[in-house]
Amino acid sequence: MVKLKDVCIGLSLAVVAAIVSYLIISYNIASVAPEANRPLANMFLENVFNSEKWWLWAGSPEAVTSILWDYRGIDTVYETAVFFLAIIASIALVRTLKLTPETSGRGFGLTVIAKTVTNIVFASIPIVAYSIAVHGHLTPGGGFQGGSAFAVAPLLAISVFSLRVIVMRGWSKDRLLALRTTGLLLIGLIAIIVVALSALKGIIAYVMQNQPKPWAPAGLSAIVDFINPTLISGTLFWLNISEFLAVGAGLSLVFVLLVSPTKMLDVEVEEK
Amino acid sequence: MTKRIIASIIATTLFLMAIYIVYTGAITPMDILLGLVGSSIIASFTADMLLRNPNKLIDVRRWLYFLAYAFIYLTVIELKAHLQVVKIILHPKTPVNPSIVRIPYEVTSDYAKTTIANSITNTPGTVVVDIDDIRKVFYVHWINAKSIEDREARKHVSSTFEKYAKKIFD
Repeated sequence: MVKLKDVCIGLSLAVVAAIVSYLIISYNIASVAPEANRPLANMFLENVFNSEKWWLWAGSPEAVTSILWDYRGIDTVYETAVFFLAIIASIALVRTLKLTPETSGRGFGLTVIAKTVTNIVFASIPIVAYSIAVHGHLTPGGGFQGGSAFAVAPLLAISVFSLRVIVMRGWSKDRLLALRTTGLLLIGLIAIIVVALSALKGIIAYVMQNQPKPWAPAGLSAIVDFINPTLISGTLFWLNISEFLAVGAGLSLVFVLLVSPTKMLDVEVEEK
Repeated sequence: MTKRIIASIIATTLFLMAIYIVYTGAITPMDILLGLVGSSIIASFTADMLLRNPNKLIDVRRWLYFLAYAFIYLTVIELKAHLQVVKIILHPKTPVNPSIVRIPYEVTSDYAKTTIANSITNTPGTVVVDIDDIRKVFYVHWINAKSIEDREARKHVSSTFEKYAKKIFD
């Protein structure tokens, strides 16, 4: 039965919500997003894929990816480095942890029904994540988003199959960290590859440069010829793949470490 | 042995490639190249989880039974189950007899068990609560149990599903 108290609470909450939203919208207490684009947004939308203004374009129709990896590319490199250091720090906290099949639980998992369905989903998530990453220069998404989507796969597998199964399948701390580091190294390499290539020709170029500028005519081609001319947006495509590797392995590593039983930690510490 | 692994990887690659194409929504040569690279890498890690006996995949009869089952399940069986539950909901007295019954099964492969379990759960009125792999029974919550005896309940709930699942996957 519905109690009078519950009705009163519900009604008063609804009244408060109605009054607050009326005040916010009618008296400009909080700003409401304007319908027209701001000048900055229009500037990006005009230039990001405008080959007539080739000195301003990023070679990609995806404005967000262009801003992330081209216009403010160095910022994203440092951001990835910060994320990397955060993961290194969290591994340092649990450095006594050794992930082996013997120490990672009994490994029963859920029922055969859940496991069979998860087998299919576990294989499908990485391919969708990969597609998000390799089309990051064309459609919303990119390396970070793809990597985050990828990390759902180990998370799901840990909860359905158990940590032990994941460890037995080779998702070890060292291997994931190696993949993560490879991704970051590749980003660093792509950041300087245009500089290195143009230095050979005696041209000055910028770190993280993507498309040529009139005063620095260096850069990777936005369009490659593979049977048909295909848009890969210069460095953006490669940066997205590297970021996919770095973020996918990094987040998977964090998930594996987070679900490790504390018992494993205690035993190792006592032995020392 | 190695032949079977290679066959599994190829089949899994094709399956992942289909997901990739549907998700990407483009088939330029570059998309196909990237898709093949990605799916074969992922397939080499996951093929052993998805397929144990890839020979079953090239058996045309299994595919025909699969199509027939998909058609019958999605049209006739689902419609019947929905109508029964609609009747219960609209009936003024709500004639229900909720109980958890044991439904035995005789299939052996994981895919067959999962097909039966998901078929039971997807039809309104019955939900698989648990599975006992040793005694070979599902525990099924049935909104309007017509019988709580194992064999009799199976006849009502899962006999059609099991007949097809056995032919498709076992």
